[in-house]
Amino acid sequence: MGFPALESALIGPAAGPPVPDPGAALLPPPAAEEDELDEQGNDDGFHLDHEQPPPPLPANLPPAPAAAEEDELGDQGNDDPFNQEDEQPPPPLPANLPPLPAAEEDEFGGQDNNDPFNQDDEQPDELDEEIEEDEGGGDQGEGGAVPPNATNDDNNNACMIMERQAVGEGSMPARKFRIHEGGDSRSSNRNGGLILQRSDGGQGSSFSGLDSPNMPSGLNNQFRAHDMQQMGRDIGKEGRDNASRRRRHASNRSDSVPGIGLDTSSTILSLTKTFDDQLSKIQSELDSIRQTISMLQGNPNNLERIIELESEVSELILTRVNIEMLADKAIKSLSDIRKTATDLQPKLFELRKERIAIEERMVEQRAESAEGGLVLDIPGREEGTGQSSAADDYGLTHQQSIASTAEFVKAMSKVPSIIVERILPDLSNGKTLDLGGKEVTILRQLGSGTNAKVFLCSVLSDDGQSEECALKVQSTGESLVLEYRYLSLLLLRIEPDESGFLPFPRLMGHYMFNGGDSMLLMNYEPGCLTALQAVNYALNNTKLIDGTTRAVLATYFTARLLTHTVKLHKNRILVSVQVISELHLSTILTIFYFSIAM
Amino acid sequence: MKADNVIVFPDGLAGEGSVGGADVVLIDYERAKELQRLDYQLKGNAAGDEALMCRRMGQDKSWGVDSDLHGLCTVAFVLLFGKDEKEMVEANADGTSRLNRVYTIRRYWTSSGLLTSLFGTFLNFDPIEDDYDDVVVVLRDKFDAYVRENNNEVEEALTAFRSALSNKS
Repeated sequence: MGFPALESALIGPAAGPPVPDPGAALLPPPAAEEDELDEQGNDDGFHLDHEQPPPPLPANLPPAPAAAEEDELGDQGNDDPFNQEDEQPPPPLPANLPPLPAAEEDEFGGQDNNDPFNQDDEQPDELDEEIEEDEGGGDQGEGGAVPPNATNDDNNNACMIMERQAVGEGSMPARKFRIHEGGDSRSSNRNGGLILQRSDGGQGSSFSGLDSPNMPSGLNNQFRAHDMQQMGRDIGKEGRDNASRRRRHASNRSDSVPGIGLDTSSTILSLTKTFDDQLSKIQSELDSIRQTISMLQGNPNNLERIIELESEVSELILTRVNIEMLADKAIKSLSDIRKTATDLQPKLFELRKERIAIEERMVEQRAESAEGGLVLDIPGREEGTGQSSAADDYGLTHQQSIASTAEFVKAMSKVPSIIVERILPDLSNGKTLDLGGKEVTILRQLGSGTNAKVFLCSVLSDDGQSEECALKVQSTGESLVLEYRYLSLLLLRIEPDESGFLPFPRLMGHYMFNGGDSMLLMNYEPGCLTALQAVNYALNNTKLIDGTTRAVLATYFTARLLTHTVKLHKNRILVSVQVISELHLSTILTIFYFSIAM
Repeated sequence: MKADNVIVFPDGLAGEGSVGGADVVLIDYERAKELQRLDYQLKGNAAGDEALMCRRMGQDKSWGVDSDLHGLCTVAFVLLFGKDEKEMVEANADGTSRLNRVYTIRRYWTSSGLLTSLFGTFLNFDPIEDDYDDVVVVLRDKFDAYVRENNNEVEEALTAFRSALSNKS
């Protein structure tokens, strides 16, 4: 027959589910690791803010004409000489372009190592190093530094910092692109008369994007226009390709970091979107400039303006390259974080084992101190009745305590203890908790005491079945650590009878919170009630239960209780102890647990 | 051990020797203690409800399993008389304890002898001087024997108990 739910602490008999696999308890990562990993993430210097401001755009640009010249320029594929992502060799110059004047080659070095353009051979690596230093927060000098102790906001501005470098505030643009006016080598690309050149791999495939304004116009100017338009078109294509690649990259890492609260999937996707937005704006600006240049072309009076615009284009291209590299680095960094979290799992497992070993020593010491402090009044021995002396007794019990400790460790491995959250959330009806992978939903409160509350809850098992359990929650100061210990020992010492009955609650799990709270999950049998409730609800109903019937019932339940009590005593567990020192020990153990958990 | 910490199952899963699927389970091991032996003596600063303290604990003497036996008596007392356990004990002149004379174990109760022995021995159990098996185990066996010998009476009482619970709900 069933009975309605009763508002008190109701813990069921031994009909609970099987004891969970100890190994499973080691799967969930402790909350403490989240912080560690979060910190690692921040230390990377990368910033996962999704709302980075767009890079500054060139001002006072004329509106872009509607027509583009893509058909005229043709699709050159991945010809962008600044695209280093796939480490493809740069494409050869268009065959129909005129060769560079020999004087210019001589002037700027050609194959000579002194040639500032040939030094670009090493520049990609230098740029990588520079970015990595930025990621690490190292000082990059003016304009490019991310302080080692950079805050999130500081890190958020990584793109902005790179952008400032691109427009000439830092040293990187000058290293990557050498800009010349006439015969003078300059580190600024602000003023007119530009030659933007880059060589790759020493293969002589130098790219001369712009020529000197002092050179005769005509073909050279036409080349500039063609080149810049080609560059802008390539950037558009490449930007789309790279965005697509990053999205694929993000989708390939669609799972979250195990054990920490960092969702790499959503973070990478957001990051990718942020970078793509930045690049899209740059691309749009490049298109605008490119079209402006095409409008200004052919009129010698517009030469200065064209040169200025080409300078802006070079800055934007550089900015784009930097953002692309930064995006790749950021995504790679997130991937590394995830790998680190995965690698930490075995270490976590070891730490848990160490914690158990430490607990074993603690319990042993506790047993020793209890021997010294609690054993008193042994009159038989003092009177020389032939029994063992107090010293002998101490030695014996010490050995027993060691054996008991080993048994306790074994018991703990049977019903593991898990650190599940940093702080216990507010518990109310309908609240769902994730207790070490178990989904536990609070149904209602069964009872409460001075420091503890017992909730009836629904636990979703691995096979999708839901069962009702009792969840005992204890606040700081008087933890459930000791109860967990004794229930674990009982579970180890007392086997269920043929019907599966146990005279104590079947422990299903122990969960600790860094805030000092702890929980015990135990089986629950519907219809049960406390002896006190039995009296109030039934035995005091004199119409149905007279004095004789009541005596029979009291005798029967007392007989059962006596049977179970003797069984507990024979298994060396005393149920009733009300000693202050025990409370102190409980507190010490609690502090110990949480110090390990932190 | 007290009435609040004993869970009663009117029916369902029960242990060996039970009748009609009714049984009890002990909960709350927060203040339990591991014993080395059954005559193992403990002593500490007692805390909590004085009514739940065994005789030796109240006399600031070392104690052991007598603490549980005292608690068991409180549960039996609550079940039997429906009164607060604080009213259970009164002290004799020689320092021993006895069931409060206000509450009488009726002679016509079939278990009157058992109940008298229960309160008489457990309230004064000395874990050093009294042999656990001779006192506690023997009394347990007597209670078990009573249940076996009065199986029908127990069944009828349990049926009335369930009916009372159903009416209450």
